[in-house]
Amino acid sequence: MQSQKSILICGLVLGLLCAVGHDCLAQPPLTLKLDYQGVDRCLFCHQAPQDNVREDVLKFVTLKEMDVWMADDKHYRALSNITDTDLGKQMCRTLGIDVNNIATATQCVSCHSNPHWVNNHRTISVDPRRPNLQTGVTCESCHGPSSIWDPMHTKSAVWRAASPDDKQGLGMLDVRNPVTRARMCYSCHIGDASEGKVVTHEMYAAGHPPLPSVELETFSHAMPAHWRSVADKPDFEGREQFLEVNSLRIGESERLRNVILGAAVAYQSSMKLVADQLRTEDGRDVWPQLSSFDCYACHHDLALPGWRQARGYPGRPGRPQLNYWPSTLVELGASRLRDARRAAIGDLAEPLGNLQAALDRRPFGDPTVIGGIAADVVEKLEALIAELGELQFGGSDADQMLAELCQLAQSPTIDYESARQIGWAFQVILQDSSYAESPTVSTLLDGLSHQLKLQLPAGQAAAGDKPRIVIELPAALKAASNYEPADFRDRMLQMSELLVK
Amino acid sequence: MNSRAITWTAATVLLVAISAVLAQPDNRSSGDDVAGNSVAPAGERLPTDLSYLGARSCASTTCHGSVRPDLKNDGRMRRDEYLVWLEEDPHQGAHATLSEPRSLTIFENLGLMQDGSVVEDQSQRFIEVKQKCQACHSTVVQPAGVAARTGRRSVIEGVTCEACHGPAEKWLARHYRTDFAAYTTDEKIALGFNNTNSTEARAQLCTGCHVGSAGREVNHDWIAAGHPAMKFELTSYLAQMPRHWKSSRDRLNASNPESHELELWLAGQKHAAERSLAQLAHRAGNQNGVWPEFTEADCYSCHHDLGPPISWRQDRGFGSQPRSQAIGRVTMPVNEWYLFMLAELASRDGAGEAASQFADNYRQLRNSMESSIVPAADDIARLAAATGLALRQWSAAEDIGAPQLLELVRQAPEGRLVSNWDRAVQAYLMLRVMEGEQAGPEAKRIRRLLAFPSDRQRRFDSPRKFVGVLQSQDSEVTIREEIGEQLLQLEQAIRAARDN
Repeated sequence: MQSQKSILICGLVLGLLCAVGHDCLAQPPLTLKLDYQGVDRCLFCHQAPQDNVREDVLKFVTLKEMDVWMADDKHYRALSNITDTDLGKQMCRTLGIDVNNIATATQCVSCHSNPHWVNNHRTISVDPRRPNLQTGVTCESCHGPSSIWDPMHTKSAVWRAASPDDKQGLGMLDVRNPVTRARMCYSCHIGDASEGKVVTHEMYAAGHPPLPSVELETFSHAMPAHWRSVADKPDFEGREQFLEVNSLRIGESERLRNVILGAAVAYQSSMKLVADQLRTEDGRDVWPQLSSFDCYACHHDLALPGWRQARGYPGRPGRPQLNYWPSTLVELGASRLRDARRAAIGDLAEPLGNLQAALDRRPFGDPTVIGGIAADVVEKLEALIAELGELQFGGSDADQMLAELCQLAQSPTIDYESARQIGWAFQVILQDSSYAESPTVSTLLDGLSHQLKLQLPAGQAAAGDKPRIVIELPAALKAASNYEPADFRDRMLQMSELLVK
Repeated sequence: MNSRAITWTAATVLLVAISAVLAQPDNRSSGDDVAGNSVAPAGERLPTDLSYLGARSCASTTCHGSVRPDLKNDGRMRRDEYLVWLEEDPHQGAHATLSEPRSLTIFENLGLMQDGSVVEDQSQRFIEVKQKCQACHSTVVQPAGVAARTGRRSVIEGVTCEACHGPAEKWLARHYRTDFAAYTTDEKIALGFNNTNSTEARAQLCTGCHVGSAGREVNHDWIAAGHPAMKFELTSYLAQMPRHWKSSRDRLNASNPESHELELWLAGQKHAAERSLAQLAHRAGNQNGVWPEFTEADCYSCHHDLGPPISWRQDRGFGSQPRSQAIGRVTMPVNEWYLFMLAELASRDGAGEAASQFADNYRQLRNSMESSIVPAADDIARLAAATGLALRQWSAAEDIGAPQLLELVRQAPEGRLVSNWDRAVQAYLMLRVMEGEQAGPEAKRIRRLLAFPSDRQRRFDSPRKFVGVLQSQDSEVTIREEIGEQLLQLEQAIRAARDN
């Protein structure tokens, strides 16, 4: 099976090589080794202005992707956020990292740059005319190493007809698939111990801004998007075949799909992060990895009356619990499955209960027990994600899901980030619902958005200024510490009344 | 066998001894043997099978319930001891506290009560938990199945005469007889009559509840549920307690009447430290206990709001722990309240061998505690027991007096005594004891600066403004620096007064 696939890929490579023809002579010698080339290669085409571009190409790509990335996308400044800011330098000092040699600090560059590129090339461009071009989270960080597919992907007719699996074999990640995309995004935005991507509590203590919870659709658009959805590209060449090989179903709601699958992957990623760390003896020494725990379980001033007591919390007093938000929306997806399918996956609430019991039993829990439960959840979610991938979303789904979100919001233990999960999902799903144009719903949602800071900060700061995240941090922390669960529940109750009408 | 090995062997023996002491009341508090049993706060040396007769047995007007106290300064008793206790002493209301709203909140947070009533299937656990409360909040523990009001009077009477003076069954009828004065201390103790005369005995007595001892423990579970954190210091607590005895007796009982207060301070420090080390050894050594036990860490290592914009803790720095230590794993700095001053005293220039041994043991214990968020329990149990033993040996080997304490303040590197709130308060209380009756301007100023900030809506329990710039003038001096400066001036004032 494996060899068959290799033959297939070789065939595809050879075929494409032939198709590429003389174009390829203008490029550096092609290698069949998967490698990262850096963003210079992409700049040739994906940056405006472009001369002599066939009109058909622009029906598929904008060729301004790099402009968006460099001008507005925060990923572009991911590494300079460390090397060129007071906060970054201070963090490095505290953590004993040489900021002038950041490429060797794998715990930083694994997320703040393209670690593989850094690893392979060991240098970072310091060309002052093109500052940071090679350094942030680059094209290849998400789209995959391009040494093989770079010369091929410009041949649109052949490339568009190739299946995502084949492309993935050549190193290109299938970012159109929400599960693949979510796993890729969340490897940094939640963490992936197997790739060395872990924001530790030491990093937080040294000043790293808190990782917020993530929602796939919302965050993708806030990057901002340097792409158009296939629905917005009605007439490119080979569209029908492209839709077919990519299993894209026009007419179904892409947004709902992204919310549902993104949420399931988020939960799975967070549990995998715990399970991966606890799989080995060494990992158990790292436990408790405090960054996996609810920050506010410990971090509250000791005051009487205190907001923490008023807000309430699950579990036993004095026993920190893991971050709550990742599991917030999982039920929204699970409830879409037919009973039998759902039953086959098993009870999703049970492991959560076991987890809480283990963390109640002793502070931070028994690492072996916690690791076992986390691994069990990862497995169950794998089955759930597979089932959800088969579903089609549309019709009355959106209205139904909005009602379910209002119900989820009434749980007494929704903390700030869990509330944001609900808020973001509501915003996205609303667009496909029959309330999309409702002014009353929209007004109520504005209030919610204000309370929860649902509007993500857009764009980078001007060059030389503080990075956006540093500017926004005080307001972000303030919103989190001022969060009033009763107020949130009240707003969502009003919302549910509006939806009934 | 080198000296360290000897220490370890001794520590192991001691640990076994401590475990034995601790094991017994544990059985009691688990409910196996509760009915009618007493838990004597003096603890360890009193017979355990004697009956408590209740505070009213002391209250006769011709005995300790007179409305006309004898206040002559001549060492005899006042005769209104019962009334002072009944009307002014907070110990009297200790049991009633358990029925106050803030206590009911604790029971609610523990899942035992709801809307003022015991949750239906939690009644057994509620009884067990309440018995744990009564171990300190009452003189005897309420037997299971007996209501507090219909049961033994002493349960609801709070911490009564007998809680400190001992169960009166065998001595009530003897102690007013003239020949009672001729009994030796040991003979009195055999009858259940506790020795409350010596400063050492008092320090041991108070710390049994106020720091913790076998069967009496306030751990982080309790504090998280709403119990106040424990920060005991003998002289300041005694100053708050209405005296039902004549102050002249304090001096009569001191080895040196002139330095009576200082002796009391030192006894408080030593016994509190011993109790807290024994408690740590027990917590770490108890297989079924809670570990890590968060009260062993500095509260503010975790408890601080996250901004905005920068949390006061970031602003302040990490106190005792140098920033560079954050390169490894973030750990929790230890709770220094009970051991800081003694450790400083033992590490000063010119300290003897026994002191150095204690300082060394404590340093090891501290390093182990701060090596991980979940320190190795076995190591900690061993080290805590060894440190306790070393403390007792030092205590027996060296006399500490005012000159050493003043020297400690003078020698301390700048900022060391004020690097966190706990240290500054302990240093202040020590100097305040030496200052004597009238507080000078320095002491008053330090006291004001150390007070927790408060406003009308909230009562802050965090010393959040401990490190900030002084509000007055255009000065750049921080509150912490100012306290440090005032401590030095206070030290000089005391020295000058002593030299005259």
